[in-house]
Amino acid sequence: MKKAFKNKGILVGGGIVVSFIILAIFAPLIAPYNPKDADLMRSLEPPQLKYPFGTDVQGRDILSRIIFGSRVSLSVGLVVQAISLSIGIPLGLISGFYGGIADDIITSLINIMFSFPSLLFAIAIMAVLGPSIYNIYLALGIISWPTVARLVRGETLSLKERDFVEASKALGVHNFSIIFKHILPNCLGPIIVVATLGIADAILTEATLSFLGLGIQPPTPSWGSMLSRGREYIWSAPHLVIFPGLAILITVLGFNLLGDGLRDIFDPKLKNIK
Amino acid sequence: MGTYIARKLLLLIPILIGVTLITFILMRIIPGDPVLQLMDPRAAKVDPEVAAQIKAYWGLDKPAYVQYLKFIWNALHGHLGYSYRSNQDVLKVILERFPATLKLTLLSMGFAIFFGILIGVISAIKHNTFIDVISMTIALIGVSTPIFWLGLILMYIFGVAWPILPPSGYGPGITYLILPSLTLGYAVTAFISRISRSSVLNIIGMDYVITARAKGLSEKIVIYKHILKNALIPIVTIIGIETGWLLGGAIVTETVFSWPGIGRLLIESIMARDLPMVQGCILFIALLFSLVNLIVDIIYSLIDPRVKYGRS
Repeated sequence: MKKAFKNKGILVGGGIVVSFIILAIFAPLIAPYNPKDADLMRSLEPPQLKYPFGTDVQGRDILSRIIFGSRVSLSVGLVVQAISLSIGIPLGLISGFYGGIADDIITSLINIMFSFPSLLFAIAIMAVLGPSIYNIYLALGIISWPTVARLVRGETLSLKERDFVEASKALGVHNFSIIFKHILPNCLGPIIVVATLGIADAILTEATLSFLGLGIQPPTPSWGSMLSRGREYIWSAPHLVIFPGLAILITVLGFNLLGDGLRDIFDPKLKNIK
Repeated sequence: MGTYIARKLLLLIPILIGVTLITFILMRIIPGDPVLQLMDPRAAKVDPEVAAQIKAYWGLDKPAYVQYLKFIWNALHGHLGYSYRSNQDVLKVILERFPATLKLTLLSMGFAIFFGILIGVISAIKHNTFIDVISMTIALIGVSTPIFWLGLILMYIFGVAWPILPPSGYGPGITYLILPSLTLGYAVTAFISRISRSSVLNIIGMDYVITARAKGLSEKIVIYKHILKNALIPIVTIIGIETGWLLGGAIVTETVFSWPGIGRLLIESIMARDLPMVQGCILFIALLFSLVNLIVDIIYSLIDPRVKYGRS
């Protein structure tokens, strides 16, 4: 715990992540305007005191839309990780612990998933199911579980050979309680790292899909779809593009910093170098 | 060596089946009747006889496994069907668009490999110095930046605010290529430099490097002969994996810059619900990725003497 407070990445990244979560939860209290309030009289206002980030074509306050957009990003990050962990952890444990045919099937499933460029996979799923936030959860969950499964499988394989597991087996402890009492708790560190970096990835991919017109649809404020609409006005009103993009960049950077920092702590190999 | 490559080629078969099966299934679970989408939406009623004819023409009346086998058979013969929109041969259109994508991805990858390895190695050798901190911060920002946003910002800076480059489109010469490949290349450079740095850092701590230094070898020889040669191996693997990312990124970059490659063709076809074209593009990109990974695997075996050929 002491180390965590010494690590700059964890401090800065954690700070960004905590502010982002507060922003998302208390959006209605923080945002100066209603994000869906359109007023054509104030269309495309440049940044000014009244509207710090300017207004969009329909005259909606961009700052307020960015603040509410954090809710979409946070929900995507969390739901996608929940899906990805609840598929990836059990498959990884089964595959690594039991081996045999189950391992063969799960490993080849993982390999097939990795043989498809993941963004292409997400685009294909969204093209088929149509744009909506539920399909985003599904598509991103489907493309991200193999990373978790592969990690958990690898960890399980090496933990299985350790003395304390061997000892439990010799004592006749049931496989189920070996998995839950010894293997899973020892995988938690790497899983937390992968989940943190996975949230960053999910937020970035959601923004990309929404930008391509395959994700969140208007009038729901999402950073990616704000950029998608804003790009038509880049010549006259660049603020429509600059601020939502910065919001994505800072949030993703926060999760990446936090994930990298946590990895430094959990990975003893890297610790020696630093 | 020969058996090693043969084994890798054999391993490609289940991957190819997986990729084609995924593409096939995805395209078949689309909600709504594909026949109805071909018809004029203003038509009050669809003549069932005409609908049946269209179904038979596209082979949609057969059971799914027959359709899949036919799809594979046709794909093996280069028949990916005809566009719903323009009735053109899908493969022909894809091959027409491919050179644009190839130009963009090769240039981006080329400069990403060069600068990525260079920056990563320098950061590792000078680790925890000012240069290292600065370049790794820039790399972390690179990994966190949405590429479509970077594209738009570059477009605004160099096409509008300071107009020295064409903001978008496709033309002869290199000027049109600069902004798109910078956009696509930055993130890949960032990825590669991060991996290169940690790969070199891993090697620096190895016993044989310490031995080499203890023997009194010059720093140059230690870096080139002992560190770089060994650090290159994981970097090559990452470059293979990054190709998948690069192809995904190309879809986005092409859309931002109106670059007439396969990525933009895919997005256009999705918007127009031109299913044979969508299927063709997805299959083509996925196959390309598998092929690149195969090549990377072979290169890997060539540079790493520890890979055992034949049985493992």
